[in-house]
Amino acid sequence: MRKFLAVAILLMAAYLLPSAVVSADESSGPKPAWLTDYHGALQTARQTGKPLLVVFRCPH
Amino acid sequence: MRGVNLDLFDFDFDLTWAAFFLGPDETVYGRYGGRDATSPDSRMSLAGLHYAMTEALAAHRSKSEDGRSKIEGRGSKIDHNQDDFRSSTIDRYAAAQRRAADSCIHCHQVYDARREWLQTTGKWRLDEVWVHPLPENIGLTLNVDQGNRVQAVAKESAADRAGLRTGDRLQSVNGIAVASIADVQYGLQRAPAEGEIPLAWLREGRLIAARMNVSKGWRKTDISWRWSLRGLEPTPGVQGEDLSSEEKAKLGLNEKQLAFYQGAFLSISARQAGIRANDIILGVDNKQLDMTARQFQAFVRLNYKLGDRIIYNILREGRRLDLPLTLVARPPS
Repeated sequence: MRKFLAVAILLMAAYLLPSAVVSADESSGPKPAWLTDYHGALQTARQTGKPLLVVFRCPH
Repeated sequence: MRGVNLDLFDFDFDLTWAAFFLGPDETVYGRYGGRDATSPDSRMSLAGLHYAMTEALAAHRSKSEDGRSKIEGRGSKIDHNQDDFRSSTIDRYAAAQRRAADSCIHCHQVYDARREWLQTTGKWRLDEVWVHPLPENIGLTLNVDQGNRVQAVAKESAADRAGLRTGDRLQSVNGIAVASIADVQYGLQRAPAEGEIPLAWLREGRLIAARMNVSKGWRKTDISWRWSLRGLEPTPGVQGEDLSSEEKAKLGLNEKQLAFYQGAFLSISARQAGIRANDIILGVDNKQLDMTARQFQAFVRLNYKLGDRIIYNILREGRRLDLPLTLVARPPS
């Protein structure tokens, strides 16, 4: 998957999640670190034990 | 969608936004996203995403302690593959191979490729278009901010007869643990065309399980918004913008009645039928249709076949005309 496939992966910071979600409509709080390489993200998830939020976006 | 594992990432491919909550071992904890004919984001909210994500994280934490989720059905491996189509990536299918190697394959084109594959293998049935049924199809209105919370139950619906009530919290639909409307739709997607669907819900802390009966045609709903429907033939050969309520009233038309201006682009079949730009299309075969121009595009695709000869009922400069048109295949692009 490449970035043009409009797939974004966010490693879900399990204990920081509520603030990460809120930051979508508030300027404060941690910025989500979106990744665009699925296999790389999966490898990181396995190393850290964190779950993934995988998002598919389409322009239509 | 090139390279995406369709067996794992099995979702409503017509959506503009869809999300998965995955474990590091690619276990699906849950899904989020959804829409209906009213708007692309009518089934989503930040609060709803937060709610579903919190449930997914609870499943993940629960699972990471002992390797198994304590939440029934959540985080367990699912056999997503319901037909041979999803057992791979889109890249192996003819529809994808005809495209340039570096061109994008949009999500909705997965449905196009699947339809073509089913048609080629003789398995295509029109019922295949009713994907990811809405909760309303079984009589449920769910809370957008808490996707498994029942907001209303339609009287005498399948859900009503199964015993669901306002305020109940759905736990599973057809064996799929649910925390979002997308989860519910995924459970319904895997349900039979008619028969029983197992459900479980919480009411005042008590878990209730039941089997819900659904009858033939329960999956049908307004799918005119679906981009993938545009690949289905026959196309009507006409298209355009709806008249406003005021314009309809001036012409003595019912507010809900189909009435749209034919656009400037005329298909070959429309030109051959004598249809002109700015003609007002009122219906076909003298049927009064209560629908929009967009819904009409779906209506023709779902109710007619290639080669059918239909009569367009038209209003042109105050005169009613009946113009026959034969529904033909689109020229290859």
